[in-house]
Amino acid sequence: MKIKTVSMILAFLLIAGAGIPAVAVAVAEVHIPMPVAPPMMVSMEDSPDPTDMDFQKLQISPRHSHTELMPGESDEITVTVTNKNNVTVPVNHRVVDQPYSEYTFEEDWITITPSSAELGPDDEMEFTIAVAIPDEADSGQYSLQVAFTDDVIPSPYPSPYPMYINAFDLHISVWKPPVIQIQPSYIHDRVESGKGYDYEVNLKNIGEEEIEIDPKPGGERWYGYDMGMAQAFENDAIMIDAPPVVPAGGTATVTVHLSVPDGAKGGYEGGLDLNINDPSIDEWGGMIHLSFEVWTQPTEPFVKTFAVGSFEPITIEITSQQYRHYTCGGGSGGSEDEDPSFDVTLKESSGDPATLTRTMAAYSGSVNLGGSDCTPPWEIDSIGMYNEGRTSYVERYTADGTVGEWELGILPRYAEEFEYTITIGDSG
Amino acid sequence: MRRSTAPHPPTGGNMAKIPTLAVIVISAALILGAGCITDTDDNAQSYNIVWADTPPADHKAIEAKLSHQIAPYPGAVYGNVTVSASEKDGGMRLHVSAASPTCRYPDLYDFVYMNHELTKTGYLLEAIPEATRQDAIGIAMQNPEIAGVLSGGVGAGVPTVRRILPETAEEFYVPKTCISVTWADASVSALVDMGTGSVVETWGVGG
Repeated sequence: MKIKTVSMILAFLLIAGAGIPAVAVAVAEVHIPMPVAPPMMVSMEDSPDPTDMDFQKLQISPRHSHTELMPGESDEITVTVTNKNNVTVPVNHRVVDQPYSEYTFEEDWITITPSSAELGPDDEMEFTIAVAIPDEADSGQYSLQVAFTDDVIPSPYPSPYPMYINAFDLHISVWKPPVIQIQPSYIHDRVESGKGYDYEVNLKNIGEEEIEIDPKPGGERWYGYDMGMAQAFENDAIMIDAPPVVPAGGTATVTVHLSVPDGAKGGYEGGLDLNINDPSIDEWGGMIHLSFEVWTQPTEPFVKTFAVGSFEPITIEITSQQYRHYTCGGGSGGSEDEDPSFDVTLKESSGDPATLTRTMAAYSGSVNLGGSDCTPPWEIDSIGMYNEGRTSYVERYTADGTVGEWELGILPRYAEEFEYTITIGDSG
Repeated sequence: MRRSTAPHPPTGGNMAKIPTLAVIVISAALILGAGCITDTDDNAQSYNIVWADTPPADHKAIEAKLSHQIAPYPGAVYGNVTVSASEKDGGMRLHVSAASPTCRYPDLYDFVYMNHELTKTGYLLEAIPEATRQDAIGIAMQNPEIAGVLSGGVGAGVPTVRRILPETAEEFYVPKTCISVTWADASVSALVDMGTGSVVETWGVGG
């Protein structure tokens, strides 16, 4: 098929090709035994006129496939190739490893039948792609391409790798069920400076051989906190106690003790790298995310001054909101935080304290009933599935107001945040 | 609080009056009949029932009915069963907490008692022996879909482990006691058949 109007394709390739050299540099040292066409450095003078390029476009269905296989497993994919051209097209497929593939897919792991074919005009043929993952294959992502013809997308610019036109892309995730089970995989808590906290991570080995572990703090890079963000404390605030192995068919407990330094402020994001010697656990899977929010009890009250223009009652309402950040279901687990409260003072500009009368205290919450997105359908019948996502605590005070400047002081206790309202006159 | 005891089978104070032959015949019938029982009645087990407040006048009748509607996880026994009663629309609402000494969490039941009828309106059953609880979590974590979610970087805390009664399990699997293992923070759950040691249904994966 003579293509005269490929300017749109070329425009796209010019844009897409801008990022390719960087990829080529990144993969320059990767050993790829499967045939990968060497980079084609084509000068402008040597490059053919794209408008004069001849190639045969075949219809390939599907164009892409993704499958998950364990070592020792196999799979078959059927790809239908149709020749819509008015000439016969020889099909001599080849398997090409992709430069961005995490691991190298060995050529003898794949078999394609038939091995070649001649497709006449409007002919359609099914090719069976059989994939067999050997027992010793590494867990990871494998990407390859089956090119049914040698036709490549023409490019007037240097192309690091040929871009086959009549190709089928196959992505295979090789995985192994973890032999070691970890729970929980994160620890999140609000902690106070100067206090100590203990946490446990339980490991269970369902395999037949003991597994070595060597938990150490680390993994900040996993959580994006190695880019200059200040941490409330260093890793040495975290002490870890763990046995060296998890016995076959047994369990082990990793104890994490956090001593929050005096005066620590802010948060801590990091990881506990269990250093599990189990190939089924990838680097991410063996990491416990540690997330601590250091809460400091203020010692000085928040102060707000306001003016009163007449002899009217003053009503002060203070509301504290609490959120449950990481849970969306009820039931077991978790610890209760202290209830919030406020020390409230009100002074006239003369400094004389006013008599404040607490007229109301209220607890309220927002409760999601069962059947929410957080409830599996087989637990709908259960009671106790209420999901209290937000709670609030309100205190209301009144005082007799006189003309002048006033100063309200609020010292919160065990409150993440609070809001206040000062009403002068009838509060309704 | 007032304590009473769930009904026991008769202890046989008049047994001496029954002829020996009748005892043999009855015993043989009981032994033979045992082979036909497919659903063992755990309700005959003894446990203390504690009323949180003054028990109602007909508490004995309520306790008798209660004993037929609550049962621990197979292999576990209830130690204390606490009943909180409150008036509701001319009837009585009962909240029952049944604890087992071998289980970390209790079983909770809600009932309405009206016109001498005790109707179960809800349950949350977490009284599961620790070994079974851990086994259920382990089975759930071996499911590829669940494992994929849990290892996907979102992190997951300690799951809830709850008994699912046969009448509920029937809607998703077969009428059989199952266990639900749920990571609420990751919004995934597995329905586990402990008899076959397999995950029979998952929720929240691949969505």
